[in-house]
Amino acid sequence: MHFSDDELREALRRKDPGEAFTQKVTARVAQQQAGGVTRSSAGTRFRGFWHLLGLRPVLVGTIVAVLAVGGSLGMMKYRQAQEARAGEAAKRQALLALHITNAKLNHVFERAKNPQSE
Amino acid sequence: MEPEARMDTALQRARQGDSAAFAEIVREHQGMVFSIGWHYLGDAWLAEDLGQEVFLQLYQNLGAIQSANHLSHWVRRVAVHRCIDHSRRKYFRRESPLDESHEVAANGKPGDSFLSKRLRQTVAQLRDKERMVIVLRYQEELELAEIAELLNMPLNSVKSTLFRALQNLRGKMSRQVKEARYAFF
Repeated sequence: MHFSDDELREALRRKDPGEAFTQKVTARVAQQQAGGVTRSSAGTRFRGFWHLLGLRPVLVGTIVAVLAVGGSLGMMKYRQAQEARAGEAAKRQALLALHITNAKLNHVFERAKNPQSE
Repeated sequence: MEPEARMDTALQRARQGDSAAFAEIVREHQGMVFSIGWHYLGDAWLAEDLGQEVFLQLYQNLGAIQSANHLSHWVRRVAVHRCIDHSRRKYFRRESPLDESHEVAANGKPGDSFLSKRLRQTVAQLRDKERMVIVLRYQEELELAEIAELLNMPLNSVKSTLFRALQNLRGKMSRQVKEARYAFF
């Protein structure tokens, strides 16, 4: 379907929303003058809330996502470090137990070899 | 009285709190503001909501407006940037065709052709930046340099965006005809 510049211009010609629109605007201005802060929809109220905080929902979402990912990575690292520490402690305990057993066995062998030594 | 002189007078009166003068300013610019919103956002209700916000902002800034010329420029700039902000905030992607359900009153579209309607629906499917450049060029009939200034874009980017937008528009329109033919036969 071919179209000329004029046809596109015609399709996008300005449209007047009518007198009802003017009245709505003037009513909202009057309300504002009277001191009431008016919002036209829940959407704009929600938007106003974020503007009040000086934040945008997308920005807040990004920050929350970064914190969540960072937090879970941190937790993973912490658990890994804890497991490694527990492993080291167990290893040390096992070595100590082996040393003790070795010493005891040496002692028993000594006594078995020379029963009169004591 | 010349329209510009009439607006200058209305502006002066509105600054002094004359609500009838402010209504006159709204009446003069509401077509522009509503149409930018409607053609860009593709939703007449949203365009009306956005239009009201623009005029409320104008009311709060009446003191800063120096002339009738400045007034139109200011209103257009605020409408355009509110539309763009809306798209960014809501990740607004238009998937559905332009909403024609909302009745556009009075000075509406007498003799609106099938082609016009199809063109508007296809413009609504373009990318955000392309759509805004098309709206400013063909609805507002702005020069490319004015569009560049309004959108804070280099002139060459405006030229290439407009070229791409028209190419996409033509491509989409031809595809629609082919699909219609295929469906018919």
